Amino acid sequence: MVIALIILGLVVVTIVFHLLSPWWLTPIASNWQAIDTTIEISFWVTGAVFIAVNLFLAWVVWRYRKHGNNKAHYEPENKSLESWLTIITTIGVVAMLTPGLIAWGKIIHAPDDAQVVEAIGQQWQWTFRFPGEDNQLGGADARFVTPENPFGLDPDDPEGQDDILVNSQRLHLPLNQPIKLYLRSNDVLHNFAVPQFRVKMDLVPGTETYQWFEPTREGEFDILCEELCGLAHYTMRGMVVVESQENFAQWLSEYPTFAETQIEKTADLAAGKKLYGNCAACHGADAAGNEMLNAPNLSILSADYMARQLRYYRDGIRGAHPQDNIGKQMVSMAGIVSKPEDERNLLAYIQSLPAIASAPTREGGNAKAGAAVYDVCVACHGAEAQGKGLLSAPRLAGQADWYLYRQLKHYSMGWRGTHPKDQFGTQMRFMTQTIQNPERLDDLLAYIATLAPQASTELSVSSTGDDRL
Amino acid sequence: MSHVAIADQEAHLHHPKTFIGKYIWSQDHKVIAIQYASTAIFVGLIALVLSVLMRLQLGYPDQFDFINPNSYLQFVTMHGMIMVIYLLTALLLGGFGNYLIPLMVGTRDMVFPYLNMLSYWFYLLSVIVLLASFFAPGGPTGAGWTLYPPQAILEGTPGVGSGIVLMLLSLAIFIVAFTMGGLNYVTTVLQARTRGMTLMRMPLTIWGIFTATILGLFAFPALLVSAIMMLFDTLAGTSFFMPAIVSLGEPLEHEGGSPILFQHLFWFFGHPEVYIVALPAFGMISDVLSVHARKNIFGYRMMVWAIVIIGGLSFIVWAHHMYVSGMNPYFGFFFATTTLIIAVPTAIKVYNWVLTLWRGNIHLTVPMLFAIGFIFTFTHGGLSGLFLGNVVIDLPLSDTFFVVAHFHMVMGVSPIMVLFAAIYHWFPLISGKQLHTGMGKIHFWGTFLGTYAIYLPMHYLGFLGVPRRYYALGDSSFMPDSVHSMNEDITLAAIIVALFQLVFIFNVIWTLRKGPKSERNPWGAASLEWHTPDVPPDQGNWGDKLPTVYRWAYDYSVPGARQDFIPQHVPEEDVDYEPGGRKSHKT
Amino acid sequence: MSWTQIFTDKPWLPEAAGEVPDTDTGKAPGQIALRMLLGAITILFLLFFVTFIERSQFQDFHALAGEPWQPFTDSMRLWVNTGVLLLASLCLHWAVRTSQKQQAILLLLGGGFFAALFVVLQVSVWQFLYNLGYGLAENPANSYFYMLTGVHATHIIGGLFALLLVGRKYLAGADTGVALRACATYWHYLFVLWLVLFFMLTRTPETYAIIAAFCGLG
Repeated sequence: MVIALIILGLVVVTIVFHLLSPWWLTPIASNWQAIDTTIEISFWVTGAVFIAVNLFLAWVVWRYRKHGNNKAHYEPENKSLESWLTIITTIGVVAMLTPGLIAWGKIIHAPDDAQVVEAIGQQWQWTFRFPGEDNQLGGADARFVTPENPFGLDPDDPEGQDDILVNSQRLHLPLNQPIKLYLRSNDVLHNFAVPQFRVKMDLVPGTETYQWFEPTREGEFDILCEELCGLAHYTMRGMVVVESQENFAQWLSEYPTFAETQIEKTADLAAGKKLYGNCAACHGADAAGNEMLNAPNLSILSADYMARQLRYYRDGIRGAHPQDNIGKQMVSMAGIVSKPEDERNLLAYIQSLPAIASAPTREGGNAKAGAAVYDVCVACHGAEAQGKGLLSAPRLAGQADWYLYRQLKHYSMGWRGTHPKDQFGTQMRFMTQTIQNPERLDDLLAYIATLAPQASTELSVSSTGDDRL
Repeated sequence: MSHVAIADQEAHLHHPKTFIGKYIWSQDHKVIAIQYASTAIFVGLIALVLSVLMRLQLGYPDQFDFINPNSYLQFVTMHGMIMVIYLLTALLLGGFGNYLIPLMVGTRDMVFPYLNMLSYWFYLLSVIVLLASFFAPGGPTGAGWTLYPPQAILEGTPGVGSGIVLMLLSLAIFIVAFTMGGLNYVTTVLQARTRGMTLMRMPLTIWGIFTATILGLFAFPALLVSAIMMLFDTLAGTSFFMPAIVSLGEPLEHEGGSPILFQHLFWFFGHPEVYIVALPAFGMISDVLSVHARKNIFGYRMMVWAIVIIGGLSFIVWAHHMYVSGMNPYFGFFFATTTLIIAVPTAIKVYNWVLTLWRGNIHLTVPMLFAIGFIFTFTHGGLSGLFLGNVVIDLPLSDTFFVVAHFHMVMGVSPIMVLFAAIYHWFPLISGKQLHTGMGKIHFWGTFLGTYAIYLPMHYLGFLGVPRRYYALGDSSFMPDSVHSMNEDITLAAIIVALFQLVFIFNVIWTLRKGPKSERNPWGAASLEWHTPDVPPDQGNWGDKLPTVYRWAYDYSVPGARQDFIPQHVPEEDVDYEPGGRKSHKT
Repeated sequence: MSWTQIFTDKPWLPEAAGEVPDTDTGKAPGQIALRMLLGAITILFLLFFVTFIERSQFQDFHALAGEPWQPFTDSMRLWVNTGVLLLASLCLHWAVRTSQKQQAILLLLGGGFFAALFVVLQVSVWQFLYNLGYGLAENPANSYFYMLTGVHATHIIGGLFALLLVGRKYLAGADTGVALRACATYWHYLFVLWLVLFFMLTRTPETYAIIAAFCGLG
């Protein structure tokens, strides 16, 4: 009795929920309206069946519940009824399947005039490649990946030389232009998904997959990885920016070709030393930093990392928060090396200085407990917190703990890492959230301190591989 | 050798005298069934706790210091694997299969009792190995229950050292256990049925279990193949599934392997696995509905055919789990079509369940409530499957919460409804006592309404595009704040549902200790298992003489008969007909 | 009764009620169970073969036969092993057919011995390969060779346990006719399986390409 009413009620609740729910397909931004149409048809068909079956169920339960001495009907089967139901069901299935298969036929065939783009996934970041003038992507494979060739392009493939490498998580695309997006992974399975585009496809290491779509609306859309790819799967975010052809061309022209990235650039250490005079006041002549002046230890950082930070300071990506006064100082200082060769010389000079580990200054943390907090950092920053060049993860061991403390605070307060162009900002903000409270932060820093050699000792400097200092 | 001789072979049975012989090293199918069931329910409770833990993180991100991205993925993985394999498969086949097959087909035990016993001990071993991974360095694997390589065996995934190895070993042991049990179930059904028990006189429960077991025997090898090959990849450094990889900055030795190959193997097992769980559930719910509606199952032949057809089709739909995996896109046409075809026999089963109730005499007992609840949840889950099976709709929905909602409705809630219906239904047979009705109803309403509150909104989060297996959602422009508050509500609902299970556990313990003795056939069921000389059945089940079967299992409310059911073993001349005898009915 | 008759039976008909049809299949349960088991093992190896053929078409796959310097271009060792396994199979074949207990026991021992010898010889083939520099992880072809022969050997070892159990019962005088026949069938099966394995693992790249094309896996 009650159950009949409840079933009836649940049908009503379901319909009302469906009509009033604030959650529905995000407004479409691609040409795949056919997918939405198929969903709509499926909703009508399945909705009708859902309502019919359950209302009938509720009625039957109410009508034929045990009362008095009634007796059940004896009817082993009813062939014509069953046949009719089978036929009607089959018609419903065909009604849903047909538009689906027709749309699938279009989805798997990219038009010939599609712009070719490649998305590369690696744990846990997105980068992109455009084919350059020849409109041909050069060969690429995980086996070619080196610190100098992080995209893994075949160095001997002439078609790859003019490929444009977008070392950023932001992909710009021109409006109303069909895009054939090749997908390649250097490590594990990933999935390129933009909810507004509807289509998605896995990235499979060892082979190349693709999807195609035509952006039909300007705007910024999230790229999500939707194939479990390890512990930081949820932080693997990117952004598609759909814009006019002119803006797109302008954006693309800012990125280097593969050939350009492979040119060996020499640095002038003497010029670098001179430039470093501007920095030495705060960071110290040995670049080991100075707590009084809020200057971190540079001697242990890699040139790539420092170059990215200097660019971020200059472009208002870092140090732009109104209350970040220390950041503001660096914004003006970073302007000094806005010329690429100046920056190169400066960083080469800092690299030539011996790496010196900073002494721990903070007390009270429990290193053993901190090891558990560090559990989620280890994949990128390394078991020894040595940093990994290929993952753009800086060295933490030997860095001043008060500096790490401040940066983690800045990440969690949103002073750092919130700018959309900060390539690893989202990831670091997600990761700092796992620290959860001040005690665990102290523990974490205490643990990282145990990974550094004793204070003020020289670290061995190596310039190769992942722990490029 | 005739079947009767097999069914009645006294020599087969050993009659242990000691407690250990009777309850530990037992070869009696009923004891083994209870061993299977209690072990499965025990690990199932662990998996339930894991699901609450992961819901806590989703509802209240970063509030609990024992949950981090690593442990979250470990909870997700172990929850899924335990529920699908170690709870559902083991409980439905090892538990109910073991208990019901010999009783329902009228034999004294499984045909190979010793093998049956080994099956349980191997199953227990697999559970122990699985649970050991919780204590291994690095903890259990967090690769997702699908264990996709390369990720499953690379740094960056929790439990990569020993967790994944223990998981694969445990699965291999489970498969050995299942094979030993499965050979028993199939052979017993085929060879040891009592006199008069033709295949088409068997209750649908047996049809479901029988077909599911055959699926298992032929599908689990695929999982074994993938487990063995992955073990080689991770322990010996081979490259079956591993292409050239730069893993977290380190180039690896592997070269040339194919990750998609694993996915094909996994789903060649994984899809039949869905029906290994579903078919016994289909069968058992048919019997529960029929008994409590005092009416024969509607369209029995169609129901049998549907079970067999669904079982057969389940081997050619596997790649619908792989529409976005990067496999040859032309497969999409084939697998979308086969997948939607499978909806037809499934829909017929739903219609026939409702039509069984139609013009019945519905006793709204606790098992019946669960059965009606099952029809509702299964209809809902089945219909959402039509979205995912249709290849283009799978593109926006795959790996979102819609998938989570869908498979929990069909593979989580629905089988659980059946399991509870079955437990409430057969508890008097197993223990001689009837579970408390009031507590049963509280348990039902909490579970039924609570689970719907969990999963209905999840479908819509999926439509929006909220991805699954995310430790935290963060802020994305397309996700309004309401998503986060909904996640909180879902977590609350999940905790409430979990708490309602305590009512059930209390009910079982209370009934076993204090509950009154039940009647020997409290529901008035016609199938054989209720008509043993002793209830609960003694060793050997049938006393001196095996029953002879004179009719199908669904002679309820036969026109002309005074009682509203005629047990299977009652010959025509012993039926108490009204004057005029059996009335005919249209066929 | 044919299958169509079984499945179109209408068990509810009043005429049917009260009947006790004969349901005897005339087969021993051991035979049915063994068939199911062999079916499952066949699927196991079939799936291994499918992955093997697919993997054989990848560039990095170097078949173990073809060129003169490759280990199984001359596969004499494997032929010897084949002979040993054939002897094991034959022993059990005759063991279930002889009426003399003495002879049967001897043949059973022979069947067990030769099967065990086969496993030992397979291990020596592994050593031979390994010493030639064909390590397990060097190449997928090697990996498959070790893995598939290993899985096959595991099945033989499992069979040896079963044979041991049945043999003990036989010595004790129990009726083990069905069980012994099942052992013999299993032995024959493993022998045939070995022949297929032998064939699959020692082909040239060209043959693999043909097989792959034939299976649509190319």
